[in-house]
Amino acid sequence: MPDPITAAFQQCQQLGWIPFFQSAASDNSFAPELLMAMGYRESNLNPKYLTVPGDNGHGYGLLQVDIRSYPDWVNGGFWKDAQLCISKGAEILASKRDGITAAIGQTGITVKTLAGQAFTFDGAPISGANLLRVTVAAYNCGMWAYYHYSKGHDVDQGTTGQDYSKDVLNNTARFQQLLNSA
Amino acid sequence: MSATKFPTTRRLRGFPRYAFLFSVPVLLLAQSLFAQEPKATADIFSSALAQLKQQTHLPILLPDHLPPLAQSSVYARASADNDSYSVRIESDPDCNGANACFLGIFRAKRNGHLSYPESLNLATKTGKPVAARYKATSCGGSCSSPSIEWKSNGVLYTVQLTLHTESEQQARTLMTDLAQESISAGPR
Repeated sequence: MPDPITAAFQQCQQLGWIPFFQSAASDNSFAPELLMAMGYRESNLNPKYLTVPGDNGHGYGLLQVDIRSYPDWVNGGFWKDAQLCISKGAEILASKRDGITAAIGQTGITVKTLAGQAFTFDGAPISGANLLRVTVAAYNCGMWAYYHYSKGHDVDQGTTGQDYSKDVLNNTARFQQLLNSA
Repeated sequence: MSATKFPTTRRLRGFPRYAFLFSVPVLLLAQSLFAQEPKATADIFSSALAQLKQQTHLPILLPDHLPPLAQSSVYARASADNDSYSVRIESDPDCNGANACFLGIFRAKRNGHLSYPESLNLATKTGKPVAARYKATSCGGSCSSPSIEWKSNGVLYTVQLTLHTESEQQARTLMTDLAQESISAGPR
């Protein structure tokens, strides 16, 4: 019996999803294995989540796009389509990368909680692997990932289970191996 | 009210996220009207607690009751070493750490640092307040549930829960109460 990641990859192959990851990655300058690892972290890449929401009814589709942040996309029913889920996830991830890049060196950056409380920080220099790590964490917790990075904290402090980017980037290497051997 | 059945054990699949040396997954299934009612943690954590006591020297702090969570089925998995422990709770036995079925996590780490944005003081039975920090739900594409952290005797304790609540303010109140209850209850 294959390990859970191999099983998820094989299911992606069987369902014809690999080209969706490759296309979305290419369109947004990411690696397909990164998007696969994010999908695995969000939903195990389980097609069940194309029919029912997760995360207490808030997360939709393979990338668990949250209805509180993207109500139009969710209410439009796009989350029921695997290709649209993957392309939307990649688009959101790219927007996080762009937002962080635009904030580098800025002072008094404001971040708000869902409760409306605002906090400020100064954007620390960031590039390369650190930018990718913070971008991945930001997919789960928004600009709080850059807040924690800029404060010198672990970038996963604000993420689910405090291990989101670490877990995704670890599994990215696994998906890369599987893609290379496919 | 539906019957409560404890514990139902099932064969575990791999849980690669926890790579602690002495990691021993523990699984409990608690079926009840959990989403509507607080649940006694003894029902959920009894097996996990036994494992943790064998694997870590840290004082184990848990509340007597959990606030209402998002799902009715709860599966707990524990891992620990000398200087840390964690108990992750999920709504699906085959969750494999996915966010879609994440219900919460209880963590402790020696020498950790407080880092959440909002400062607050927790009331305790001794009357001496304990400094804590809180983060509300935070969202990117997906979202991260509310968390609270506090330090006690050099150990950083963190609790994050996907709550069944009407508002962020209610979630903050429940998380604060949970932390205070955990401290007041003392080490398990």
